Amino acid sequence: MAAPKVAVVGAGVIGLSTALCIAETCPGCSVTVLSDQFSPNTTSDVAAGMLIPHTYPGTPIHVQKQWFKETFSYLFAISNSAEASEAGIHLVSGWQVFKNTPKEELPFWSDVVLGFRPMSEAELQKFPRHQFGQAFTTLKCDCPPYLLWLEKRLKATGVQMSTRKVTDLWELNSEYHVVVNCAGIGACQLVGDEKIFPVRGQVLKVHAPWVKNFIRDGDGLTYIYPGVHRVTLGGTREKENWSLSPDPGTTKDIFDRCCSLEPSLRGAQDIKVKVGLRPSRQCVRLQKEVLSQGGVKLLVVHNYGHGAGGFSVHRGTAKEAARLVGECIADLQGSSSRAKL
Amino acid sequence: MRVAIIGAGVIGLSTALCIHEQYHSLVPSLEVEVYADRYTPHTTSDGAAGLWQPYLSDHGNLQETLWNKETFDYLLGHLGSPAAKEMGLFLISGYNLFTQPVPDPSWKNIVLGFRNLTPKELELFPGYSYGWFNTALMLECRSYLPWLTNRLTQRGVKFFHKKVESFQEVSGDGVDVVINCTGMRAGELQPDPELQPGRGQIIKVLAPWVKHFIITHDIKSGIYNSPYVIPGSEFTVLGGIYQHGNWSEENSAQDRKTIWENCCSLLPALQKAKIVQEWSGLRPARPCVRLERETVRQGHFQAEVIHNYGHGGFGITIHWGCAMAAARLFGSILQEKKLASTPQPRL
Repeated sequence: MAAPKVAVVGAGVIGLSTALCIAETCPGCSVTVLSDQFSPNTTSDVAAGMLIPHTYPGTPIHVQKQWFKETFSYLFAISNSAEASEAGIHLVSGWQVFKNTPKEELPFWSDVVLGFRPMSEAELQKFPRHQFGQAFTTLKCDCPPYLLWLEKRLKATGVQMSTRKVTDLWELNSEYHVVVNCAGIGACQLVGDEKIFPVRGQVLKVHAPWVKNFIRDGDGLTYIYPGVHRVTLGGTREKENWSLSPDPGTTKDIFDRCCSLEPSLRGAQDIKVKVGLRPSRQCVRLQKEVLSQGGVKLLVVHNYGHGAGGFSVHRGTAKEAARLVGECIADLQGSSSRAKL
Repeated sequence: MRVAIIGAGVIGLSTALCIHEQYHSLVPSLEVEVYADRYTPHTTSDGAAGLWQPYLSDHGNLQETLWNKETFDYLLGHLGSPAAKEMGLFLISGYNLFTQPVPDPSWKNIVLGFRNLTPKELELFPGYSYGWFNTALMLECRSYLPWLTNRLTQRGVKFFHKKVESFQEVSGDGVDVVINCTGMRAGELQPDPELQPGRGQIIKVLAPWVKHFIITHDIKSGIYNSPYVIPGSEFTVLGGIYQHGNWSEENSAQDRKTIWENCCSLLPALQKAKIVQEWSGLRPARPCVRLERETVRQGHFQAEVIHNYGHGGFGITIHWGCAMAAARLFGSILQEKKLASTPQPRL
């Protein structure tokens, strides 16, 4: 068999990191990323990129923890290197505060982030409406820089990138041996998945360079995440809302909620409003699928449905997807099916 | 009642404000004046990164620890106010790193969330085997000094741009109390062999991805002679020079090399940081802060002086506690003058 050809559909953090893992683990493969959108127009570009995991109800906790651990270690090493500023990866410390003490005081990821501990009374005084809190240090992946850095790494390993809207995976059958579906919310249409739904998030990206710590309300709705150049203020979680247009009433509401956590934000400048649709699902769809049509097989690896937790688990799921791609290629090489091309 | 403050760094301006706030309603005739040859952005305070952090050991100087605490609590109280941004005041977290275990500092319960570093955190800093994490405050003087100046101007305090050559020069002119906040050059007004320069040099860079302060310590070389990285609201300050007895305010190429190499070794990502400025300044170092009254006599002539200088590398850290203490000394002078000027009924 000639060099196996792999197509990765989707150029957000999942598509790009998956393509990179495939190129790393399968040097003989020819990998192409196909997407109708590239940075700065992907869902990932809107996200703050904070490494604080989202819990998927349908995935075993030990699996989620492994994904997070792998992602954290990978980014930790980059943050500590000369590439950190180009990749947009940096450490940030802060607080997660709760109006009511949560039933689970120790989340599954508390020993993966750094220095996790309950907040002291003195620290909680800064948040008079909140009774309980956790302090820790984690990583943040700023986008677009992180996606642009991934694109640069991909080009260096010979991965091709092409702007193309794929409306049906079967379109790719004649050109590629394996198709990797990292289409995010696009999977709804692309593969007709009824289990994936958007959770609309509106955020503000503001200039407030004196904000050095993150603050997150444990309800997940209000957060302040300082990035390299801008602070992301959020947010909303609107299920089944497909609108990508910023809503002015929501903007004011987000701003007010964040200012009540951090009053100095009243002085923030140059407020930019963004909207993203979290590709939400009970569990991440991370599996092989063999599609069949008229006797012809199409090998697909799905890696989508990361919802609010894409950045937190991207490297872990990318590695698993690359492993599945490896299995597909091994199957193809071992099988006696008709050679393609 | 005329009060002249000599010096317009963080000590001079905050002392002026503290005195005016506390006494202007009690003393209707109170006139506060500031005399200095250097104003922001040309003072020693302007060169400081602005991190609130005392030295590692207070050398038994409990009073200074108290003044540090008063300053921290005062600033913390202002954090939520609309003035915070204008003051250049914000919270910041970060690391203190050591090559061996050390006792906890006097300020561990003053700052927020003080704790030891975990082994995983120490992996970030090869060569360091022990450390602390805490949340403290930044007070950037390039914002704070203008803010103090505005508050003082609003209160009718007058500013004079001149180099005062002697206490008599101001007190002979009808000033009742002189507050000596002259920092490094206090020796020019009155010799003080205990006051020595602790020369520092810094490099200001653009590194907005750095969100934590990192202060390393080398017990052998002494405070601030080991690299440190302090991110401000616009620039990040790289430093690690403390030269006792060196009066030079010229930037040294050797020191620049030392700072750059050591800081890049500590934080490899800094290699990509853009250098914006270099600066040298003299920390007004003294075994302890000189904060006391003195009646300075020369011939017929007498001046009530309150000294408030010698804050070394912790001026911002201690400034408000000292301003309050100086204001208390001023209050006692007022009491005495009242007693002296109010005629006592004679029996």
